[in-house]
Amino acid sequence: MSQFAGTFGVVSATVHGLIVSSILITGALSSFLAGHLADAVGRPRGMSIGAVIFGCGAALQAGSVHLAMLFIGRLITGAGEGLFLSTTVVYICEIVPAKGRGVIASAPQFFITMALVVGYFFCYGTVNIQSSLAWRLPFALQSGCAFLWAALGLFLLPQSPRWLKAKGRLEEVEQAWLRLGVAPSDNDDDATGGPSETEAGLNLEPLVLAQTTATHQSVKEDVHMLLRVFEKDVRKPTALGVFMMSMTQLSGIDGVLYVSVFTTGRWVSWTNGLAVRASSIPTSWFGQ
Amino acid sequence: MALPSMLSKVLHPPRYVVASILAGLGGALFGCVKLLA
Repeated sequence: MSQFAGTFGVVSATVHGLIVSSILITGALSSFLAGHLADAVGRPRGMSIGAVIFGCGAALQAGSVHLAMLFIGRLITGAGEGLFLSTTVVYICEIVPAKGRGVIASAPQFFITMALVVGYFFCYGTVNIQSSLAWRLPFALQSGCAFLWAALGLFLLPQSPRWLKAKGRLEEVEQAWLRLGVAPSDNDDDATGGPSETEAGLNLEPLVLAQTTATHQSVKEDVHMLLRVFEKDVRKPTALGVFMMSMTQLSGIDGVLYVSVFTTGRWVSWTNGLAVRASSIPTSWFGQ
Repeated sequence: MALPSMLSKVLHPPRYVVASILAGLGGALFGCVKLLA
């Protein structure tokens, strides 16, 4: 984009790659802390804190006057993203009854691809702006959305009943389920005192409770919890999870998205976004 | 499921669905990040 080059100059392929991937470096690191943060302050607050950090990073990128400023902005954005994204899926899985969990838990992925489509169209419009606003405006919008979502999440989202139970706030559990509109007959598992089992019959009680209390315990116990996913009773789900995530990334969809902008031009790049959106619909369906 | 019943469910979703959609909107932020790479 000529407006971007006008502000920062033409960057080499190495620097370009570094700027693009920088967001994932801090994202990966902060995602290790996301569980602890969400356990300590609750899922909605955990997500909101991540979104605020994300918004600050995006605002820094929008106002960048130097390449280093853009780079640091992306690092901060990545840190926020790592904090809220994984907690979002955990929160959804915790509040939705098992019968509809598969479909509803795919909501984040639905919105990821939806945002790609909207974003392509948005940038298709802003690229015609002659000033640096052409690339600043998408970042500014991203920042605004992050702060708005943080506020909505903080004030509108109810606490997860399972988190309340793990924290020993048993008297609030029933009220939390009522706030979510979940009838006792739909409320299938541990939050009301029964054994914590998935539909596959796995007993997750020790894992769930230990995860939520690990914040105040030693590093040794944290490591033990981390290794728990390789133990015999959960080895198969772990292998399935690793397989699915690996295949998703190895299929190269991120590469397609990043590279298409440079190789195919604007027109094809946003039709590519539409194709990605369309392809995710049957995937979600078969996944369920 | 009869059409009116299905329509009613869509127009009046349970609150956990609304909360999930609101939480899931966080995914949109991540989608923007991928795009703006």
